Amino acid sequence: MNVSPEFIEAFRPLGVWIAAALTLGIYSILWKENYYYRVCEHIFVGATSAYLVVTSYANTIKPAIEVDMIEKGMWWQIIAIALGCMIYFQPFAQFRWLSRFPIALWIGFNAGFAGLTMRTIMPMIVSVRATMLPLVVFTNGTFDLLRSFNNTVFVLSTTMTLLYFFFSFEKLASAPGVLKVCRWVMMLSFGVGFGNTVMNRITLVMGRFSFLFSDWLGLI
Amino acid sequence: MRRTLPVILTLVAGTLAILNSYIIFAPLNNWVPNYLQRTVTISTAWAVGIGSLNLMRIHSARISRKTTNWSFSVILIVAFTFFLVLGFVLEKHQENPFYSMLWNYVQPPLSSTMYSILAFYMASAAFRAFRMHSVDSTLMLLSAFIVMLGAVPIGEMIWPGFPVLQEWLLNYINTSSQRAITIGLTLGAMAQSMRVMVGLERGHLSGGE
Repeated sequence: MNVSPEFIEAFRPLGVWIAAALTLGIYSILWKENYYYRVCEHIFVGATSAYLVVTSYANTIKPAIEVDMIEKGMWWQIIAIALGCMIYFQPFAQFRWLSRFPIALWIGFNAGFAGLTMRTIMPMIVSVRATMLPLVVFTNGTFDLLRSFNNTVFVLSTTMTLLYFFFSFEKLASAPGVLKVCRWVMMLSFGVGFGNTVMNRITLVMGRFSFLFSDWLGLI
Repeated sequence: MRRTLPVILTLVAGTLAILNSYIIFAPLNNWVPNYLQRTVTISTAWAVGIGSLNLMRIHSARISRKTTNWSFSVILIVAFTFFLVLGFVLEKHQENPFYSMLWNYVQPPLSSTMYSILAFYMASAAFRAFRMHSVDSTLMLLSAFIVMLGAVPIGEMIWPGFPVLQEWLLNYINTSSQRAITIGLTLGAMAQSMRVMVGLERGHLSGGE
């Protein structure tokens, strides 16, 4: 089913109204829990779930059957499909044990792949190596106070965060002052993360307000 | 057999993934990504279906029992069915202008608005944390305040040092702490992966059933 560009352009005002109604519906939760918000929330869940199903089918399952198996003759992929189908025994108590096989494969492969391969370990090694900075820096033969200070802060900050996570409960329990400083460093870091996240969310708010005032109301 | 075989499958699949990463052996390096990983990808795609089936089962039950707020379940099922049928009927739904048009007027506005309301909740949480008057919360809010002011032009107008301080906090305090957290997470992931592979963790196999 193909539509003409004229149809898309003609549908645009209605589409903008739908998008504006849904945007306002979600924002209505800021006032209080209400029917309008719950309607939009359920549309969101329903539409997104359907999209995931359709996309999984179109991008993975369909090419595996039509292209790989039928066109290229890679019939071994029937095993993958059979394993995938076995997950559908999950709701039936009598046959639930069959659904353990695909789950075991996914969890096992991903545990090995994501947990113990070079892909995971290398970034950690790189991180450790990059943290080993010189604490006293000389630039062109003269002592560089700023870089020395920054490097010291960096190394201390990493060490303190590690200390807090690994030794906070037993080894450092007798030194609450050290723990407190470690926590302060982490709080400063979490504050940065918090600030960045708020800024990102505000960008989204501005995007939505821009849509409402520009595309929908045409005020700006 | 019902419990032991899946545990063995977990161990074998994980071991092959690890061996492929550390051993240069052509048959293994060819077989793992082209066959084993492909099998995992294809079979995982089917799992999305059971998630949606479960969603439909729960909401159909709510409708049939006429539980509180069952009308929302009707809306969910209608939205799900509409986009599902349309997606299957239209060839190459992601490239189809009609599907894209409908999709773009429904899902992106909903998702971006849903995420954007977190800004309001975070502001309210920050206010409550600030009222606690502890050193920890003050430090956290102070750095958040500097980062936010440093990122907008008005911050520089108030005090030119805000962007400099923001950059310093990002480069030296945040990066270093995040690095330590990454190291901790990696070590934790390694230990957890090992426990899953050797069968010490069996939660994914329906626990003790």
